[in-house]
Amino acid sequence: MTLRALSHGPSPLSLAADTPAGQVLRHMLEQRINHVALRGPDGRFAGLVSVHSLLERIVPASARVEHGLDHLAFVGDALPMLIDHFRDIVHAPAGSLVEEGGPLLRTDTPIMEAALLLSRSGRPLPVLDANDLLVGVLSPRTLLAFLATQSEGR
Amino acid sequence: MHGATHQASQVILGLSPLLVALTIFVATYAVIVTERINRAIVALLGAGVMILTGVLHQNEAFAGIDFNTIGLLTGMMVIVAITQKSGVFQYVAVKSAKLVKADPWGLMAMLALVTAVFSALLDNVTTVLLVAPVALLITDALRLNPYPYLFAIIFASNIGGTATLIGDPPNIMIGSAVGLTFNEFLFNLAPVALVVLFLTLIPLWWFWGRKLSTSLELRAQVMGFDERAAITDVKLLKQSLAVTALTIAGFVFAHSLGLEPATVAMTGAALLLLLRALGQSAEHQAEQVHKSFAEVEWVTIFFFVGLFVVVAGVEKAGALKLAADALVGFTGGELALTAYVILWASAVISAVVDNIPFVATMIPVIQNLGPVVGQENLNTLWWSLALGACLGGNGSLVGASANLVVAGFAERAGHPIRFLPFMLAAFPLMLMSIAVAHLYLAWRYL
Repeated sequence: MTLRALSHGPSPLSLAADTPAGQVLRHMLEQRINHVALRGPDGRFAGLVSVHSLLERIVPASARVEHGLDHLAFVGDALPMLIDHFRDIVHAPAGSLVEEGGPLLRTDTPIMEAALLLSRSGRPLPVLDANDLLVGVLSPRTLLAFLATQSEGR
Repeated sequence: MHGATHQASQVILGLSPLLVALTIFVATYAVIVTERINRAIVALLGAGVMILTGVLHQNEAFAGIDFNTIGLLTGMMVIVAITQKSGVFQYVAVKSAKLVKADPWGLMAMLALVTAVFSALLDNVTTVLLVAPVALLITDALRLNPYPYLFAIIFASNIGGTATLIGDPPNIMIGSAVGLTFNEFLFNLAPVALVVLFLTLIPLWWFWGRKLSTSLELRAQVMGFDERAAITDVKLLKQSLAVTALTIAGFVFAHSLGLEPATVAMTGAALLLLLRALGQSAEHQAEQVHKSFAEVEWVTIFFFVGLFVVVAGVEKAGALKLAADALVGFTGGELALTAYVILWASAVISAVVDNIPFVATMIPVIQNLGPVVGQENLNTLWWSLALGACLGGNGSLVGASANLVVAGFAERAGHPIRFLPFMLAAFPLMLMSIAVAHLYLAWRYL
């Protein structure tokens, strides 16, 4: 069984990849959602921006990257620094702040594989069709709800 | 290489041992320079082919490996791997920034000084991995371009590493091969390294330092950093500092105690592991030891092992004697000219290729020069080689591993260091440092 068997609901809202990140954040806060899909000029999926990926860019790069600082307890709250970083990203195009390295699901991805990828990534994953158009975003909750329904039927 | 037992060669197909050894040597070094295949793989493969083709017997290959260098590197890597978890290096870096009240130029000079001191006592790669993130954080807080600071850290790491036996792999190799002590390196190279460091700060100030500025509010933010909070494990800090101090004292007194540096470093590593293990469960001990050993840069260690065998092959085949003769032919065996040629050639070559294989090759070449320049004068040539190879690493981004590590870190953090712009500033500065070393050699030894 593949992800075609799951209902992804109506096609999720996506924003243009060049939308300012501040606007994308405002949208997420107003809609009480944690991620927004982005589309490129050709309509194809261009990545997911999430509150997590935005927060990650606000953290100093010196602690974010490999071989960086293990902790920042000695910096104190350094609120001005956080605010500076926040101001830096709100005008950046959202496409430059997408989550990196996350797996993509396809409509023909087997459900077992999707379950594994979801469990490893710990966050919702985009589902694309053969033309790289977004057909939905699969969350762990959606998959578990599907499995609950299936198990009741057996 | 060192003390290899010479035996009659049985080279495949009756080929000339010199031809086969040189072919393997050139092919190995050529592939290392391309950086298309991991250097440890290439060196080990070259070593294997040296044995498989009959240039070396396995016992000769093993005899060619300088286990004093291997032991010293490995021991120090274990000590540093454990020590860095205490947060002491971040403490020192933040404290230094606060000592100059987060003044942009003062910060650059202070970070260079701290890097140089750490590099003299630790390996350069470890040093820059510890200092660069703090430098990036502080420049971030001050809203300053981190490039000049990272540039200064690269330069200071290679200059500081020049100062001691354990500061830079070329020095470890030279000291181990020739029997030069920690104190001899310190007394002969530290003074010129110190002069080079301070002279390097002048152009850094001219290029960047005098133009850097930030606001008082941002400086106050850095002054609000609490360096004591950088210490994550006070018990580990005490243990690490005690063992590091004992180890350095061991290096200082090793010669009079009849000890080799590898013994000192390995004993220090074992002692620190023991202190960490006391009172822990068997599982926890196993986990800690596993993690500490995993931090050792095994790629570098196996690279050394392979190189030592490859160089032992060309040495046994007589190629390095020919190279020494060619050098004597060029310089006429005149000590001063030989020293200057070694100094400048080492610097330029080390700026564009890895200085470790170069030094591994040059050690037996210089040893062969003893009868020509006089055994009592050989030390001058060792200092020439050490100064050229270590300081030459500053000439380009690929000149030393530490440079590449900083460049990689900067790129991941969104501040890439480009090869050409770096070299345009670094190469003349490197030449200046070699000119200073030239004058120093002339003044002190020639």
